[in-house]
Amino acid sequence: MSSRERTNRQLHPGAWWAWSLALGATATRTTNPLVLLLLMAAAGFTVSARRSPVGTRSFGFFVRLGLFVLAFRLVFETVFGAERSGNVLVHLPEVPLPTWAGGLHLGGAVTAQGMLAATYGGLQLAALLVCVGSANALASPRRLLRAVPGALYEAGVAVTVAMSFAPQLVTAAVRVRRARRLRGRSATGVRSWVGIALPVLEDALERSIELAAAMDARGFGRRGTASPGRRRLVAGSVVTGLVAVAVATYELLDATSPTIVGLPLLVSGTAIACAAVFFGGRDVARTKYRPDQWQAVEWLVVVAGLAPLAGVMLAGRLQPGSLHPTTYPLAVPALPWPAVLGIVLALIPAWFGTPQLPAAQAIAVRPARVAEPAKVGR
Amino acid sequence: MTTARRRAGPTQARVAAVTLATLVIMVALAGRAHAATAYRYWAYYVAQANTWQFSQRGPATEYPVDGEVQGWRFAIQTEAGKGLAPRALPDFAKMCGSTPATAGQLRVGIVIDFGVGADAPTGEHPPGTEVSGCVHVAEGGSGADVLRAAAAVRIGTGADGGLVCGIDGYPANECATAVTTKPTPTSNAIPTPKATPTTTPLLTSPAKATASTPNTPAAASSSAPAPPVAAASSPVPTSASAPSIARTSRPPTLASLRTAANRTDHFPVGAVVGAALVVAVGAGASWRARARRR
Repeated sequence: MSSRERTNRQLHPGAWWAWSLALGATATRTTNPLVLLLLMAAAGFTVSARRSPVGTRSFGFFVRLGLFVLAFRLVFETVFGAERSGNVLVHLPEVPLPTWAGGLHLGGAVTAQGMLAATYGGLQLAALLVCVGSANALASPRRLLRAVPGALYEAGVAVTVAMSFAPQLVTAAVRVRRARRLRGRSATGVRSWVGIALPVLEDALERSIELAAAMDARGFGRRGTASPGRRRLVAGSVVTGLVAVAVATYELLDATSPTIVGLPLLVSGTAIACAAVFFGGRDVARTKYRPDQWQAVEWLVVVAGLAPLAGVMLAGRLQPGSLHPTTYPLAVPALPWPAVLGIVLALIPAWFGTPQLPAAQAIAVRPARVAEPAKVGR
Repeated sequence: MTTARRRAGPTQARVAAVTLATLVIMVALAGRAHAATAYRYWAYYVAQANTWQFSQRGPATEYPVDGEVQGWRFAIQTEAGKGLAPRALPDFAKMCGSTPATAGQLRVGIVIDFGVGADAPTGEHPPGTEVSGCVHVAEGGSGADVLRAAAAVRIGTGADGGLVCGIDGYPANECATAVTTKPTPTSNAIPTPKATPTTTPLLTSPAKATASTPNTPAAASSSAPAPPVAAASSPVPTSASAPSIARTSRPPTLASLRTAANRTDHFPVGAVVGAALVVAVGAGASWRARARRR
């Protein structure tokens, strides 16, 4: 490995996913529009600086999805809004509903308070989507799957094919539409979509199956040397452990169930699943070309991602109320300083992450990449 | 292949370490939420046959009739429906007796009971003991309209969306918080009018409700079969409500509550700084994206 490759290596996908998901977790803990917008801006900034050279379209898609969710939330509030009194913006004709509808309104007064509350709620969902989108853009989920332990290879192939189908559907649609336009046929309107649908589906499915074949050739989904009984034991242990973890999480988060059950279940479930993954992984040999490395930079990225989460928790202690600004009465949201400081720290990987590959190098690297048989230039 | 293995090993260990850290954080969070056994919130009551009944419906879907009395009580409630009702009697004649009926308008009596100092969030005091009065709402108005006509209401957002979180700025920030401290047995024994209909002077005399605060603990301990804990904790409301008595030397009225909504607010420095940051980072993002495309 030459020194230039070393400096230009891409970060471990797990680091970027941890960074993005920590930002998403931050978004779930607040409805403050300033924090949410800042989170989205930080995710966008980092993506614009550090996105992986392959699969760059996904971020824009997620941003548009977030905007759609926000708009949908506002439309819902306008039609079914529960906040009927306050500063009325507009009076819509109201459809009277019977009492068994449980207080559901249809139409009626649309208030500034209700719309603002809906905006905050919609922004929270949009921020979550943008954070997931940034994870997709910064490190392709397929690269993340490469880091999956050996015991989960079989599941990994199915997940990879499923996850790559939707993005490939999008690229296939773009390609087929472009081809249609070049032939001088209309590429807009309902009728054109009918003509596009079949080739798009066919193309995307074909590419997913090609991907699965490529993964199979590299040892994914292989059974390895283990006996069937041993494989069943490993698979059963993984499932048992994960189910135990899920049940324990529920027990711990539910305020009415005793802690005494949840904690031991969580510990033992985690132990079983980890042990099964560890021992199962020893049975399967898989070649790894250019394995992703986890070095100090990866730690920096993870810590930077956790900073806003810590900040928002601190803000919950120091400035209660700033995380969920009131909309009734209308009030200018306060700024939770610790959370903002955390988000600023989360911007660090935009500079200190590995330098992005210039376009020419990126193309030179592409054919050598494992588990990403994306066809260049087609 | 062995080198690949050796490299993959530590990576997996690190991934496991990160996962474990996440789990630890989750458990720590869960542990905090878990210890809670009670909630501190504004409970909503509707008077039926001169006694308070915990409303099974929310104020937005509870439609009053003319001559009804509705009540709000801030307290640590252990179990919905069996908790603490407003301490004053739902006496419509006293509240609305002098208010003439108007066509198309409902007269609804309302009692807002700020609770005892012991139930207050840390660093806060009830702004008064209780206020009562008569409000007019248009026909077809809901309990929420009644409350809004009477006081400045703060309604929750996000996870607390739609909940009545604060009345007249009390409590200042929190919303239906789970509390770790168990409410003292006396709290349950503070007489709901149903349990002790006419024994306490507070409940029978229509005198100033605010003046009778010190009676409440006494009434509680006399009316309840007092366990030792009750005796020990009965002074708590008295001492804790001392500042509230001082504050209620000028007891809040419904009119003062209504104007309390327009508090003086200073220049929103935080919001401006936050908006500037958002614009700066967002502009940086789009600038870099454009620079990349070129």
